[in-house]
Amino acid sequence: MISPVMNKIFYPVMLILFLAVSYDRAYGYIDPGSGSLILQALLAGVLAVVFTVKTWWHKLSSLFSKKSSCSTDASKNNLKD
Amino acid sequence: MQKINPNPSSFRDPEGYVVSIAGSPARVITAAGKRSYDALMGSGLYDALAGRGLLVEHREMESIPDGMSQNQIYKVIVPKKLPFVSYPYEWCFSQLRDAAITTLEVQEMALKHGMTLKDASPFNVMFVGYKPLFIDTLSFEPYEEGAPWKPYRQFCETFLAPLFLMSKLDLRLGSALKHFLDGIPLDLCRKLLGKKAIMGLAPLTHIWVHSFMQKRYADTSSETGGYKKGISRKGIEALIDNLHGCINRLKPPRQKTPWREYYAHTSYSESSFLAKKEGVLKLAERIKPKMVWDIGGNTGEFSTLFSERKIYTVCFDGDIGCVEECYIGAKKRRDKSLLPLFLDITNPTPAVGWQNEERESILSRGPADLVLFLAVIHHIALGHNVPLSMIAKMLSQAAKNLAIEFVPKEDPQAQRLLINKGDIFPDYTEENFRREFSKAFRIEDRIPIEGSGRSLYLMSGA
Repeated sequence: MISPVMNKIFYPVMLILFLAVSYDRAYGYIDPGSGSLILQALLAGVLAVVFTVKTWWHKLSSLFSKKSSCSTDASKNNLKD
Repeated sequence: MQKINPNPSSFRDPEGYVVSIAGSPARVITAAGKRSYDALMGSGLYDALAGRGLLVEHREMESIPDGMSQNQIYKVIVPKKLPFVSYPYEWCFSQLRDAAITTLEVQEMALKHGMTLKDASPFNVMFVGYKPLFIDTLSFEPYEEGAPWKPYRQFCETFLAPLFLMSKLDLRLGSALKHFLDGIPLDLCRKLLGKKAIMGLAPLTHIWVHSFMQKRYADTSSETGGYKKGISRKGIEALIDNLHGCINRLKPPRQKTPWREYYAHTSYSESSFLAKKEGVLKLAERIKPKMVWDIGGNTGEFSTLFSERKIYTVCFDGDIGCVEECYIGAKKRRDKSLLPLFLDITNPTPAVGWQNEERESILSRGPADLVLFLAVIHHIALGHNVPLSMIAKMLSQAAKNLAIEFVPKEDPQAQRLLINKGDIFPDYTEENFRREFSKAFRIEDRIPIEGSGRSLYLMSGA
């Protein structure tokens, strides 16, 4: 069950956030659902931050792993030559 | 003039529909679908997806066939024919999960090419053996900066909800999709999951909060139908990545099902089992089937005899645990000729959807060149009280040829079925079996299975 506090604060905030984004008609042939759209807008906002951090972390860690494997790659190439 | 029939499962999308031209499926693209189809082909997305084996390949027809209204049609494309049509409610957990992953991979690649999916239903995916394949060429549209991912709700209802129910509660709950063709309502999924709906961020956000949001904004009127500039591209990528992660983490429950251990407790000796395999192959040699149905195929022990010879085989079983195990095995072997599906033969998959025509019944997807009905007849006749004449009638609808094992009443497995019932089946004899089946089939051969008292019969359609 959702508490009355949630009802008073959570939903109006969601609605304001949703209405704050400018919208235009871009309908699809399936109904995306109003509640689903609002949730998606919120999730996308939060997840984008997580996703960006994750992407940078992967880039950073692959940079280090490349550096450390550089010498082995070079020796492999030499062997091929 | 070729005979053109509309496909009863394709009528919702104004951008196109499927027809059957002289028995082969073709997809008609309407004038409304021109923009999306041209973008799919022009953006390089089609080549990228087809090249990776994610999207069904197609060719364009040179001209619109006679008998179609020429002015509303942009193009007609002919997709590569699939060996067998199956539906999500016939899949096991891992099949539905792999179909979901394929859908997300298609979406990820679409975004890279400036496109997006406009719907994301498991009906857009088919299996060719172990391999899921996206089949709806018209599910794509150009991505517009700021637009939401329209199928988010549909994805949660048709993929996430049944996967959570199967993974967290019971594998058998996948068959709920037979009733809820448009997906399991999230409020129902939340109620069924109970406390498990709030254990973990994924069910908490995509099911629990989602269902409350749906309820809260159910009456929101007018202009919430869509908006631009609302969600960044990075946000969509992050959402898809999150759904991908959720699904990858889901595992089938460690659930013991009645028939999974069947081969460990079978009444056969090893030599009888080998004799049965040899017998089946010997019978099949004569028929040279292109399509085999193995009804009650358990984990696919006999189906693989055919699939490893590249004969397309559908292995049906009424125990979802067996289907799961059969699929995992086929996937490990990368077997493109074996499709495991759930089927309760005493209540075969019906035709469902609009006018009961949208999704076909199992019997209307046949008949198969050869049906294997091995060690099943006693379960149906003695366990479910179905008279031999009715079993013969059903099989004559499903099979052009039949390899059937007769299990006498004296067999220990048959005796187990009679322990609590008593012998109320005086007509269950091999003689009666032969008489009843001779009405629907011609008996070609009989091979006794050494050391078991059972017999293998080969029959052809009368």
